Amino acid sequence: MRLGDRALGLLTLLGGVALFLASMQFSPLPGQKYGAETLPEVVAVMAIVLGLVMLVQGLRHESGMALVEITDWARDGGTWAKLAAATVLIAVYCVVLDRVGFTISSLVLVAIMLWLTRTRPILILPIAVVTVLVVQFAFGRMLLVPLPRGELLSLPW
Amino acid sequence: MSTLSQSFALVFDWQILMVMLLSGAFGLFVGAIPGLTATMATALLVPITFFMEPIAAIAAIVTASAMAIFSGDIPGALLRIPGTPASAAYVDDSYQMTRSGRGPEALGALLVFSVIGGIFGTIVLIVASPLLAEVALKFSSFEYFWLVLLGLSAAIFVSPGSVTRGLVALVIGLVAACVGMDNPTAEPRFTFGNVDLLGGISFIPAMIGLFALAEVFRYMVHGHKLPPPLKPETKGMIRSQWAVLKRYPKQTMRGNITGTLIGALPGAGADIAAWISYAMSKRFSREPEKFGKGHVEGLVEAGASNNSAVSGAWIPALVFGIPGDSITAIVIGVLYIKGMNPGPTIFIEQATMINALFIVFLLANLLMIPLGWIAIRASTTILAVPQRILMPIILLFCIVGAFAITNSVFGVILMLCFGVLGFIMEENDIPIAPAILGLVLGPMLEQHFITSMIKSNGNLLEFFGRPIAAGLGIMTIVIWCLPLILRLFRGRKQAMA
Amino acid sequence: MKRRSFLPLVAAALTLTAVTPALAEYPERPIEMIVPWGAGGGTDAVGRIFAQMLQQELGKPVNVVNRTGGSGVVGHTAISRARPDGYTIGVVTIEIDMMHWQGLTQLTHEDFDFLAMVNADPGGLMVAEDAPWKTAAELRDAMKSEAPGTLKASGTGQGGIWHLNMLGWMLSEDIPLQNVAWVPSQGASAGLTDMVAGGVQLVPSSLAEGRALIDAGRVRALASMSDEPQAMFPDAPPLKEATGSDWKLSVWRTIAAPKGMPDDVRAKLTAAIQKAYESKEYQDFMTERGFGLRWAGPEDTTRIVAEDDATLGAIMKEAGLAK
Repeated sequence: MRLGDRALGLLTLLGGVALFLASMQFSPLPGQKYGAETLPEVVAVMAIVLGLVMLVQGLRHESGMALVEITDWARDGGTWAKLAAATVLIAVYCVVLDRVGFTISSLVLVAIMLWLTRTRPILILPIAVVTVLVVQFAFGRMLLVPLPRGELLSLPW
Repeated sequence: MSTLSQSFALVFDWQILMVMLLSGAFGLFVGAIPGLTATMATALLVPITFFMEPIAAIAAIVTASAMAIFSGDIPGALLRIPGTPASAAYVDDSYQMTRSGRGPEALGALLVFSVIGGIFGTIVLIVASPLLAEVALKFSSFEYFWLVLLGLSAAIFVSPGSVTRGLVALVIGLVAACVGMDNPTAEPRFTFGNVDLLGGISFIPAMIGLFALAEVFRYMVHGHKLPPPLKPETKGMIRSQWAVLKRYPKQTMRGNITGTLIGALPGAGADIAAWISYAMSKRFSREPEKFGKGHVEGLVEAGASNNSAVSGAWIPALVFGIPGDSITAIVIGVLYIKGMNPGPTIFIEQATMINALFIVFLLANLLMIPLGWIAIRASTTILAVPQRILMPIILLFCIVGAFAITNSVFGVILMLCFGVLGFIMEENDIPIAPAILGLVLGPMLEQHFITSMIKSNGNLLEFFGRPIAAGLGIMTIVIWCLPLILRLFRGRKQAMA
Repeated sequence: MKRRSFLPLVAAALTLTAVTPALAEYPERPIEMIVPWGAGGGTDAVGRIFAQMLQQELGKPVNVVNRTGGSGVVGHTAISRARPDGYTIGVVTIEIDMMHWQGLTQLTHEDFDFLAMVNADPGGLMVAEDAPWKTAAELRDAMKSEAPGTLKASGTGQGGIWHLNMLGWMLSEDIPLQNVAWVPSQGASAGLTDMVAGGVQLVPSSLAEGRALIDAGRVRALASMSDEPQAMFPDAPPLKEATGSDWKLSVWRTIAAPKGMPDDVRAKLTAAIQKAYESKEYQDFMTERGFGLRWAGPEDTTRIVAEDDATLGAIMKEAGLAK
């Protein structure tokens, strides 16, 4: 999936306009000319100009080409499914981490990831267990990173 | 003199030496794994350094980053996959050399000239930093403003690929930099009522997402079986380099100087240094036609260049508190944590620490010879770990790294968002580096602009009101106009031909 | 099928974990100490030394967790939202009396159970060594007579505690607030560096923060916003003596817990904190780092925090910084 200059330019332009509108709610510092609105507005103007330039360039050089170039992998539904699965997996991990605790949620995460990368099933559990325990020990125990203990089934560390 | 002996005592402590050895091994490992960068080696070290003495923390980062930049060359030479972006410039040459049986020469050259470059950069750091610090004491927000702007613009114009896509990346980084209330006006922006977002977008989780998590996603999509690694020969690897050095003394020096300068430039790091040095080497070479086909000349110059850039990047980091590259961007945070606030006064207030830091730098680069040698020998084993197993493990490391920065799941969420973003950017040929720079330098740019404007009561001309500021300002504007001038020049040349 | 047999198991596990704390004596596992400011700063240092002392007292690890950002809102929110079981405590700083006035959060000092105040640093008044003003009174007269915007001050972000310190003093002396422009900075040391470079004229931060530069002869301390002169800076008179103003401000740090802790846990913690405070180790550490020592028990702390909340709120409303 690769956006051409026209598509990307249009996106940048729209993003810039949205950013500018959103920045108008901010006000300068009392007694000053500039303030919280300055940086976002400058960035917004930059994005708008950049978007326009890309649009013009794209219209000039990309005539006859597709707006979005579909690369090989993007035609394969399985790849999309894998990508979505990995994203959703990490998102779910974030949601449950505090509740379930680091050990169990990480175990599940690594195991499913290994399954997604088609590791031999017999290896999945040993690798996941060793990895999680090593990480838990190195970061949680030795480096005192406050990895969530979880509310159920938490280990004595 | 007493501070110097104190500094030696600080460094030559078995704990510090142990830390250097371990972090050196860690850096070599991370650098040698395709997709894991030297920057990430540093980022992963940060939570660990939290619990170390200041010198141990700095020693760990210095050693790991220097090793990672070198070891990125190993998979490049063996598999034609650069381990870090800094090794990408000359990967064709080193791989071709290995293929034609000159593997020892290639790997030896990469190792030895990495060490030479690293030591040269360190010497410049030692000699030039205190001098630069004197100048920097006179720097106020006006000068810093231009310096930051210079860093932002340099990154765009030197980064490979299309300029417009580089600018898109910069805009993405700057937008992310706007989030939160830790800006000079203390007004919350784009937080959508979320408490965690008040603190803004933490740069390290974002970076772990953009680089490492995006790499995991890419593997899910493009995952392919790696060709079996070639067995490296190590006999006579180091000794044969004398001849190479004698043949290319000028190239070595040029690589050293270019690397240090580019490293010292805010925002441009080892990867950019390598690209420029390789291009320069080819441009001035007597046999440019051999480049890319297994010629050692480019390896010498660019290999020295990227490692000297690692040291050079510390110059602005220490003197101005402005990162020279993405590694030192992390380093600055660590320095603050350790109470070694970067800035011109660090050379006076923390003389012992600074000297110790310099010693660590020299030691780390010397340590590279034995460790690098072992790494080359061991690389066949490391590279034999299949990526399908490596990637899920890397993912867990990323999660812990991101978590440890915010000490909450918020860091992981940030990492995920930026991982998806990084994947989309890479698929669209939008470079990552400018986005990172926007995120790091954006807040500094805003801080210096707003404070300057308060001081000058809103008079924009004040940005040219002081001699150094005016000089820096003119330089920035010239760099901005350079592409236009070059285009005009090229146009005329073509017309004449 | 499987799910059905799993659920009671989970329920059993849940009740088990819920019951255990009551059986064993507090503390039976590590305690988390949330610090709302970055590692390496003053609050972090106080938090870490206290964690170490409490660990000795309570016999269980006390781990410092930095939750930074948003001018302290992130960390303070984390403390207040933790379970009030005594296993999460935190360092609550004076910013808790400012952030809700700014409209950043609903969180106020009333959401915390204060255990003790363990440190307080009076505000100060510093100018560069080459500045024309030798006393605080001379500086005050200049602030009154110079055109607005000529004089600039720095030391914290916009609306930060030292900004309020200056505004409070100006209000007490009837100096129009727009006469001095505030240049936001990342902390007092950045402001002091800028002052030495000539970018601003005064920094109203605590004198301890300027100690290195005062000792180096680059910065002059004109006054201390306290009743007595500070032992470490005998040359800086109390503000009352220097200009006649009644303005006083001390930046304090307290140990607090989320509201609703069991009484026995509370008593045990408070006793441990007091013991830690009185230890020689703590006293030496604070003196060495130049931090001011100040003790107040739970009731006194709660009162001081509430008083400062009213004072700071009034200044912020006057200055237009409150929402």
